[in-house]
Amino acid sequence: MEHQDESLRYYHLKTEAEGKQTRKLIWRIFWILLAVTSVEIILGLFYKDWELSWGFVKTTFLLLTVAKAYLIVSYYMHLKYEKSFLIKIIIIPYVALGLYLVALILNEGNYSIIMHNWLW
Amino acid sequence: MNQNDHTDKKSNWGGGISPFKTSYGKLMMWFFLVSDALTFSGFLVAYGFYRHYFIDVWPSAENVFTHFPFLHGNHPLLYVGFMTFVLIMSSVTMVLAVESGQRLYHKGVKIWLALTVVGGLIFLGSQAWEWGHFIKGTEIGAIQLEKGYYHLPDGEVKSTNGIIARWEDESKQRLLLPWQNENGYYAVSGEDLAKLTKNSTPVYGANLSVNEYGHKLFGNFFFFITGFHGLHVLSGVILNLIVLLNVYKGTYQKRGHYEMVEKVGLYWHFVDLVWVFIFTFFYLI
Repeated sequence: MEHQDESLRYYHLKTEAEGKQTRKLIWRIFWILLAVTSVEIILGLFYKDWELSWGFVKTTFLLLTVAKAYLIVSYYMHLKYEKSFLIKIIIIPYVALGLYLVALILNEGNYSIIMHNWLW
Repeated sequence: MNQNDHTDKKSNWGGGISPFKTSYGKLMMWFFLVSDALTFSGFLVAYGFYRHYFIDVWPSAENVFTHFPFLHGNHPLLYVGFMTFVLIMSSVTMVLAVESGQRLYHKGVKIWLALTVVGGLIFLGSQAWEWGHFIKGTEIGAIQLEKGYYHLPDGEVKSTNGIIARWEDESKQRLLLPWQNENGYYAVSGEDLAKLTKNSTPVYGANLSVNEYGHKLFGNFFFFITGFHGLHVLSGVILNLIVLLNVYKGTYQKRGHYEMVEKVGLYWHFVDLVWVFIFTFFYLI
């Protein structure tokens, strides 16, 4: 069997028309990312003037961050259009270990507070 | 007889093809990015832990990063907003380079990839500028208090060992302690001030052992996490330059595909993704 460039086998060449569609999507995602970042900055600058509670603002920041991460990963890194099994082996280990890390620090972090109070 | 005839065509796992319908290189880039993302998660979780541990003496980023080039006065979030914009923009040019490659449009790849490199360099320069301001600090500086105790009006006793206290204004008459009630920070002046600051040293700017804006761990985490991210940006710029050189030489056009651009593209988008989280956890929250 003749040697074949493995990458060429899975590389999808696109036509002009498909390219135009992709570019449209890229720019639409860019405007959304820019709008979300602007909202974050404006909220960060003025939330005190608008008398919003810090808990609400903090939650909004976290949700907007996750939304931005979703857009970058699924459209710019093209993960949304990969095979579903590839998506799973990328997302599941990361989310599982990430949540484990957060749960660990939220739960076990208490001990260091107790220790701190005891030392003082 | 062809080797492929033996494989089970119904199953992706029968051998002969990639079950993920991607090449080896791209798959490994994804695995590397997952592990790198976990490294950054570890840093950010550690940052969150120490921030809550020292919550009452932790500086607020909006009081630290307030400069903007050629503008005087107080401009929190403006400069980091500009840096975020630069990185998002370079992400767009990168994905446009990938898109040009999929149509084998040689000139498009060259232009968009070159613009991505420029964006990366602007970001690195901005980061150097911000680090410079953070290290240099303010004109009036702050005071690092010595071992001792301070009695809050409500009866609580706080240790002043190593606590950073900031001046209210340039006259240096009133020193603000990092503890507050609903009326603002507790301040000391006059005789109390002289007693409190008898052996204390003034602090200007931030480095790994002191930080005029508050707890020194804030500075340590800032240097470490943004520095590690900056190192990623730097290596991304170098990788992009190497690929750009190959694009100029026509290597990928000869090969018939631009997958290498896609692979460095994945890395570059990851760098942008990490910045999205650093922006939230360091500057916004």
